[in-house]
Amino acid sequence: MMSFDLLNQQLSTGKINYYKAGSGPPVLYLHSENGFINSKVLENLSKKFEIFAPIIPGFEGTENIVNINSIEKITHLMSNFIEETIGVNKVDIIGHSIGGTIASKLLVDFPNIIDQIVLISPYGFQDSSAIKNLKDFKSLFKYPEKNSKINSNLDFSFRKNFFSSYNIKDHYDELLQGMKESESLKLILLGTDDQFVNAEVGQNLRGELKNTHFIYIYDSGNYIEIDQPSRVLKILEDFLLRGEAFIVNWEGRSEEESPKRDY
Amino acid sequence: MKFSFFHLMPYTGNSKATDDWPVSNKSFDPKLGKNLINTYMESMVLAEKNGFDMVGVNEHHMSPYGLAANPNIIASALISKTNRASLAVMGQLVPLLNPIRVAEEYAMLDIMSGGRIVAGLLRGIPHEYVAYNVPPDESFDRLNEAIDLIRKAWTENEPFGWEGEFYQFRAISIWPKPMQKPHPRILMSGSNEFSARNAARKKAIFGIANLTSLENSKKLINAYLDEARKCGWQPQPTDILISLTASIDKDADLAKERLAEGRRYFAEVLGGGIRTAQRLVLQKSRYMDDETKKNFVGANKQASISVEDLISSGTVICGTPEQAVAQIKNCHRVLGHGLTNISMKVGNIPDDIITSQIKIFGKEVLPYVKSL
Repeated sequence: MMSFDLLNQQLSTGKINYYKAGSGPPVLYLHSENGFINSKVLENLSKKFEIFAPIIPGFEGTENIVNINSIEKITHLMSNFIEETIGVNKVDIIGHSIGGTIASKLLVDFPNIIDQIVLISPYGFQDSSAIKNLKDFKSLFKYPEKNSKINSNLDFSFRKNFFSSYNIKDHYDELLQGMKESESLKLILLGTDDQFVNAEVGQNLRGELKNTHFIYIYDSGNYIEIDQPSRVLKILEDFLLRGEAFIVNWEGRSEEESPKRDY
Repeated sequence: MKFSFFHLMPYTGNSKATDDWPVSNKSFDPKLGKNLINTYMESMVLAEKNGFDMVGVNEHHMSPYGLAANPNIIASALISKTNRASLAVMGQLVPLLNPIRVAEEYAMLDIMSGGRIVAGLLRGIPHEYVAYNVPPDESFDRLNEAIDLIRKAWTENEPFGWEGEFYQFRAISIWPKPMQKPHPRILMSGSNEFSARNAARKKAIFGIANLTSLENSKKLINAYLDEARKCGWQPQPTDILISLTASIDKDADLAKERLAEGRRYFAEVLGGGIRTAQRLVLQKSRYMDDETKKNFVGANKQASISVEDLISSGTVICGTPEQAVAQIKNCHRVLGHGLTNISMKVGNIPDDIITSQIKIFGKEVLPYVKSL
């Protein structure tokens, strides 16, 4: 399996630590309020993509950055990361939970540098107090034992400080309104047994936004990457490789002959 | 108490017993097949006219056991011939089928019938898995995933995709959607506690088609009710469907003789081939767990039980109309169900007898048990 290197870079807005693995088209992965998990999904995605996973300042023992104290400012930091570290004009983004919030904000505030976007169990498009005040981390998973088997470094210690440090609020109306302008291809993924993010979140995003797909991951809790890694990997690969044609079943063809997206 | 008239729709043109699987269709007579299906549908229409609240169609494959390979086709034909009765599709063996097609067809039927569909989402009996080359080991998991997917397909107001173990669809938005909201009642069946609890978890009507004893059925119903309570809902009596074979005549002995002969034909001629496939599935797959397998009462064992013993056990309606009333009341007293599924066409019992029984039931039985 490919392993992630822990790197850092001084950006114009501050120093940022990040994980990086693989080669291929770049993908920005934004972790949740529980920190970065080096999941099988990311390990396997890195066989076809160059994965950049910045650590939100404060997680994994990293220092907070002076003046980076809101979602808006994290978003700005991530836009710097895309331009200065990844160094491309446009990038695909995957964001889990609060990472989905930041990804959505990037889409609104920096639409020109975002290509396709995947929101996994996105935070804040409903009353999110249950997930904000989470006490039992097992309830994030349909199969918590799968999490204990992976080499997890879930950084639960910072999650409480995170919400206060960055003044995290629900943002449904404001963010949703901004996202309505976006033409980017979007994919919303939710577990059928997610106890925190309601199906209505996926339905509303699908209904309100342009170029948006919404897919249930069957038999999964909030952490779809841990509960059902092979299902999530298959969708992410298809979505990122084939763009809007990811809804076409191309089984029977070789990878070389399979439909590709126009970058 | 509500009553359903169920028809197995057997092909009765054969007289020889066979254990071959699948049953050869060399002897199938298309004209007879057409007449039989039409006659069977006439029986179902007559049942509605004689007070039955529901008519039930079913699904079986590759044997004379039943001619309704797709029960939705029969249900569709019945829509314009009936106007009041619910149409219970006691088929759609979803682990064998494309669940989106199932959702679409049920939605069509529900729209066409003005909301009269009861949607069976069943696992089926073992031999069907040989017929459709689906792994029997996967039957329960396929069933449960398919039901969740079908329910989503009926109720979601925005297009959605599904990435599951057995079913993957990237974009779903069925047209039409069902008439009934949030969706037609789901009917599931079972002969063991696991299935009973599963039906409760899916908030489905629970049907017991294989009534081996009232005591065992009571256990299953209690398991269903217990699981429903755990899931936060309270089933009504009409959420419990009990299937009973019925043979009724003013002459009780004649009713018994007909039922005995019908059961003999059913066991020897209609059931031989499927028993072979069933045996193989039960022996060679994990269609049932060991405990369920141990308690499973197969067709062979059922066929060996005499009509007298069935009457004594309370698991059949057989005798005069007065006796039928008493038997239905007794069954209801023990089980507390609100939906009885009556099957009169047993084996090769002649169809003019079925017609007569439907009329007797409507006039001399139904008025005395409807208020249960």
